[in-house]
Amino acid sequence: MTELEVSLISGVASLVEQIVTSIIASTSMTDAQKSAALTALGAKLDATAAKVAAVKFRSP
Amino acid sequence: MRLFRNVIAAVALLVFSSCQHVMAFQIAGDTIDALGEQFVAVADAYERALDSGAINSAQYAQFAAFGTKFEAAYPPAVQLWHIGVYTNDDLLQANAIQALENLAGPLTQFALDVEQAVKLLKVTPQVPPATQLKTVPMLQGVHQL
Repeated sequence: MTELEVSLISGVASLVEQIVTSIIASTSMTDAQKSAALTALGAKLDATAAKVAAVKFRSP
Repeated sequence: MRLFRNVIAAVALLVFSSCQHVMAFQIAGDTIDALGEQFVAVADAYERALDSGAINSAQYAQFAAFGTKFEAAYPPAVQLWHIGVYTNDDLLQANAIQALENLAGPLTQFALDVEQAVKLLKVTPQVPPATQLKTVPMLQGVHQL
């Protein structure tokens, strides 16, 4: 297995781990906690969207 | 490399089939966030690779063209997620994921390409040894004068 393959697989594994953690966490949450978690995730998404929009490309 | 795209497709399926709205919203949000973070990281890698000479301007332009599409697709996906949460609509969540699904595969490929280019630059000397040898006698001559 090459270094590149290891890097890609670890990236995918990280996402899967994040999803599994979310599933486990949400099953034991109260409704108020779930609502708060979604609000926090929404803020995080907005911050990431701002970072994506801030990426500028050089003109040729 | 379709691995990442397959994960996105699996997540979309999970969101479609999930009967627990909050869990589906959480998974969809995490996935959209991870894609955005990956895009920012890959864009940064392309900037550094261009500066170091690991990639040429044509390779950079290819990524820039893709990046422009990604930047256009990302905010609507985030908005769909927000609307889906607000209206408690699973279908909107799945649509948010699917809006980015076609971009996940190319993004991973760009990430691999730039990583390989940087790796090649590290193993290839930038200045050929022959050039270095030629400059040494000239410098010695200057000192003698």
